[in-house]
Amino acid sequence: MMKRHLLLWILRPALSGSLLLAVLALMWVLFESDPLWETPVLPAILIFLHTFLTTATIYWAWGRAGSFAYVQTRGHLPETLWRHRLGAGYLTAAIVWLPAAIVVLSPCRSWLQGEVFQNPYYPIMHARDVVEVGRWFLLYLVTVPAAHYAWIRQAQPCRFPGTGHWLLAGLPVLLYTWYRCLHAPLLEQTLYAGSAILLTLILSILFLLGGRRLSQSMELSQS
Amino acid sequence: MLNADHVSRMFGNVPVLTDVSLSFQTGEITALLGPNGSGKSTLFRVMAGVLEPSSGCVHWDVSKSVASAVASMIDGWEPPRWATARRLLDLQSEVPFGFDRSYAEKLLCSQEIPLTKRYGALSKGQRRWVCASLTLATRASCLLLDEPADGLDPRARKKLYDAIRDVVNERECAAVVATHILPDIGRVADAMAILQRGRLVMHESLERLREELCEVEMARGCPLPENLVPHVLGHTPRACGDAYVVRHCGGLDEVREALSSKDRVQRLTIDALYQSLTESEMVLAA
Amino acid sequence: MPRDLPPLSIDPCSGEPIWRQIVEQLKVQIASRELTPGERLPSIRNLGSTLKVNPRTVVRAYEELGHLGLVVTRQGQGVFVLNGEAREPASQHARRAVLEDLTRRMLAEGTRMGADADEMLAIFEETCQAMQLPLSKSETTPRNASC
Repeated sequence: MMKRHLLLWILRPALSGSLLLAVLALMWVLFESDPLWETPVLPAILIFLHTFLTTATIYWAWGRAGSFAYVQTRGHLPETLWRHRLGAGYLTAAIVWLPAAIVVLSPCRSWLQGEVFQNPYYPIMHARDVVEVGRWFLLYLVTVPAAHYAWIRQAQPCRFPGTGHWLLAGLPVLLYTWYRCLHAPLLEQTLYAGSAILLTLILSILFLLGGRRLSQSMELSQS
Repeated sequence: MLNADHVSRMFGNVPVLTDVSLSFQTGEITALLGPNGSGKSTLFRVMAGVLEPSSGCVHWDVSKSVASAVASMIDGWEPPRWATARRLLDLQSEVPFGFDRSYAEKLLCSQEIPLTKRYGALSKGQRRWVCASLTLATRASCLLLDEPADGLDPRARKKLYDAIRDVVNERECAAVVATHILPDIGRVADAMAILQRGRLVMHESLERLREELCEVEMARGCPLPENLVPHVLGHTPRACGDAYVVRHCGGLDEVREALSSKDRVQRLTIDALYQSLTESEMVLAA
Repeated sequence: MPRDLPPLSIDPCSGEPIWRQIVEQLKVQIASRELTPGERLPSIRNLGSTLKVNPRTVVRAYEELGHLGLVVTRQGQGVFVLNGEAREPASQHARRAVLEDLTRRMLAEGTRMGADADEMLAIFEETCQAMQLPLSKSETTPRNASC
């Protein structure tokens, strides 16, 4: 299914940036004294920026150096390459947020905040932070395919190659509005939580299918 | 068999390939020749399936996609500098057609390229050797090699072309080699295709050309016999008379028969043909 | 146990078709008994890989040699040099025409390069000896000298 060396190969240019962000995210969850559900916009911005930057790096850095073309001409099917690029995108998400998630879930964060910093939220902190972790990864589920769709579309000789980026730019606005409608803590309520997850999944699948279809006729635009 | 059907490609409004139709047979090495800017690289990119033709199509056998058959090494699309030879082997070993890793290692070893060395630290010739070895060891049905011998010393070049011949003989795959330097590839190739300004000027079996081509030198003032005139491809004035390039399906013997004993006939080497083709505006009658 | 066969040297730049070069060299080797009757020629695959040529070129050369009556292909066993006696000799008339033509061409080329008949005759005799074709001197000298 997944080819290890190909995946690492594609991942490589985005690796150093992601490791740096991973440290930032880790610092943030360890030392943020406000409960995480009070500052949900910060990780959202970080997630959007991170997805955008890694996708840009994967497509642009490879394309510019001609080395992406090297991978492209190895004989892998376009579908395989697309799958691995997407896989690399998800992997960077895991690299950045997995250490932070472990710190929250383990529960190192609530212990540190409670025992060392005497945080008043301590008693409810762990139970409610866990929901936030789910929210991060849910967000990646839609941002990664969307960003990939935007970049693949730009590399195509199609009529409106920039449309993907407009869609990408519209995505945070859409999600933020959605989020405002729901109010942060209401995610606990099954109905709202369910519809938020559903919307994310639908968007994610749409972008996935669109990207996959476009990547069938992937062309390396620079000659 | 790799087929290109009426392939054209424009970059903006500039036509780079115009109506190129070619087919490359399995078990054969085809030399793709042409001066700089003749569209060789573009044709290669189209055949490798990474550039869409503006019109026409490329496919393997009757209708299979080229991606399922072609392994290529394309000039200018090199691996990144940080990759060690071992990494490159790792990456290549995952290609869908299969990869003969020990053969690739043998080829690298023959040029004393250590597997731990980064691609960026290799010399130009060594880089070519690495790329060519990776492509040659890939078990694809068609190998595309763009300038594989660029920067190699003559011995390595000979070795490389021998290796291409061996691989093609053994695996019955098709190989297309783009190059400027004809004599090396002419040694092992079966056919040659010449591109000029994006058009295919000729595509012929070398053995047939060797059979049919000859150069006739007529003394000054003597015209060429009437029955040979339709077979003349080109003509150059020389100090002692006129030299004609003649292509006759009866070969040297029939041309000789048509001439008087004073006129000189000799076989024309492929190099000489290629040179006169690219230097003058010779048209080749089929 | 097959012995190492005398090598062939192909010059792809000479302009002469490669299959023809193989034919000519094998013809010489058979005439000079470097290849003895009954001996098996290298397999098509082998010769292709030693000479770095397409196996089809070798096939073509072997077919031509078979056509000339110098070798025979036995299914599944390989290509063998035919015994001299088993070959069908060409008719006197055809033989004479071909040999005359070849001699004329040799003489024309020799003259162009400034060689005289004696020099060419000397070379002819030396080559006959090298190829171990018996030559009785008293008969051939006057006939060739008159050319």
